[in-house]
Amino acid sequence: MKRIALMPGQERPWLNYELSKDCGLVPYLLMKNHKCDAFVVSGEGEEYPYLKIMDGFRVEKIKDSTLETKLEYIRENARNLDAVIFYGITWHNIWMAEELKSVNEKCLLACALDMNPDFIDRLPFYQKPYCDYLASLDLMWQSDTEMTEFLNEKWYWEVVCERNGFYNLERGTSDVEYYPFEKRENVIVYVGRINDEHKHVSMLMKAFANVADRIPDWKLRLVGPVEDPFGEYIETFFDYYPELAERVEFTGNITGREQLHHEYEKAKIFASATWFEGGTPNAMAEAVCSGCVMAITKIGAYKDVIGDNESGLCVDVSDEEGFGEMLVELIQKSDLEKMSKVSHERGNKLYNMENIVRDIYGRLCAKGL
Amino acid sequence: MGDFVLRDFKFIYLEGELREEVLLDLNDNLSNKGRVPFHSELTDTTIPNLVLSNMEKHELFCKNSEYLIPYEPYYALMDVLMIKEHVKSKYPKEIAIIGANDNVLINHFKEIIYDLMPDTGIYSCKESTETDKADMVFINGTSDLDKCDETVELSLKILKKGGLLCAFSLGQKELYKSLEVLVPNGARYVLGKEAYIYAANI
Repeated sequence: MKRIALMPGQERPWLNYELSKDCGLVPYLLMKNHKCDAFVVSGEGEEYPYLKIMDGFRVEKIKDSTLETKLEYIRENARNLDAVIFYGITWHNIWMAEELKSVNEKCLLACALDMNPDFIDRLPFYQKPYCDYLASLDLMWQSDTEMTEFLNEKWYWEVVCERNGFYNLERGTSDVEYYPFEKRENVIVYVGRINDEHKHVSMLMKAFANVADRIPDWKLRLVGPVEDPFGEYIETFFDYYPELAERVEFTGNITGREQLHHEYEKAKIFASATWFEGGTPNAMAEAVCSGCVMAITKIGAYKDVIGDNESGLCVDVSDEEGFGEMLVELIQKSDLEKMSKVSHERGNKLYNMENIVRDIYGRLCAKGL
Repeated sequence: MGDFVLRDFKFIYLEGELREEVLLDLNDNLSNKGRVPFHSELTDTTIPNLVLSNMEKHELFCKNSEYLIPYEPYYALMDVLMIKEHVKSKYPKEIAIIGANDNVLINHFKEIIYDLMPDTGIYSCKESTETDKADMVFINGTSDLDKCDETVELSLKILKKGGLLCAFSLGQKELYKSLEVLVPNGARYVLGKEAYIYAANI
């Protein structure tokens, strides 16, 4: 049985919710579907309730999240590892890769890059230690086609495309049944952390407010934890738009996967005004698979998400006025039902996590796993 | 007469209110397929730093020459045009220099080329039978050129399709006439009396 570890790249433990994202799902599905002894390594931190529904999956604990502890783990265990998966280009990953190769040169190294155009430009990839790290990797993948193509045009090493897919942990499947359009509500849903530094939720709210009178039957529902200091913005927003108090809703953080999934199913449109993303965000993958029509900003993965505008539309990042007009165009002029079904088909085709992990497993085997 | 500025992270050529041309937009990350970042906190070797440091080196080179100093911005503008062409792909380039005193431009570009891509070749070319070989051709018109038509024709002969032709001229009226006729799609950049840069992608 092949032994595959997913190492933490930051100086913090993995968080429970990350087990339901690609960083948890990739090793989990390697274990579940491909008979690998695959697991996640983490320093001490919070409890992992998701492990109760990830039968047989484990988090191998080390005493803390420092680089020294991780290197010690590698020195003690690398000879028994067939592959290690990293997430991103971080200092910890760079030094762990070097240690791994010196202890067990046969251990395959793989990396999910999670790059965005800004970080791709900033990285002096041809300089040490970055070039040594990238050259040591046997497999690298980026989770959207546009950035994958760009990286292959810019870098010296091959990058493949493996998207962040969707997998329903509670149901134990990537298959998503289409929720009938007639049962959906006139809701524009956003799912994710509610802040401005990254997710630019204020623009989404303002864009909705700007056109609210033109789409009077519609609500904006924001699902996720409100991060400080965004709470103050919300208060100011409703002071300015008191008439929207019943039409802009905050549900708070929803941890139950079924309950969360139903938020996508209930909505006709998924909207996100995020500044940037590394590849395809998990929320967008789940939204597409759930048949939401997508209204997004032009992040790196936008073409994968909306295709040729058949499953949604996009505007430039920070185009607040354009975002509002996009919502109106979708609601008033588009065949939302048709786009919803196309979105669902697109999700099943591109974002089926079991298919994606099968592909990753095949690539690792081709490299000698 | 125009100005060459770095503003809002863009290298821009300005002619009052008549013309504003963005020569290199450092906000457009996806246009940079070269290895040197447009901006980075992880290294001091960035595109704007390369241009600025080359200006400083050129200033040291010119410091005793009142004749050369006024033309510093031209060299910076040529650096930007060269960089813009270079970062269109990750591969080494072939750069040919034709005209007067070839080593001046070769030495000027060498510092930047070492960081952009050390395998990029830069050479002087008096005559060549090889066609479609160079990614960029720079015509050095800083002193009298005898046969301007022939110089421009040679440049076009050795330049790859889509490559950059750039001429730097000090008062070379005949050269300008040749360029206007043989390279009609070019743009002229004037930063000082009697001098200009003429550039086009062929």
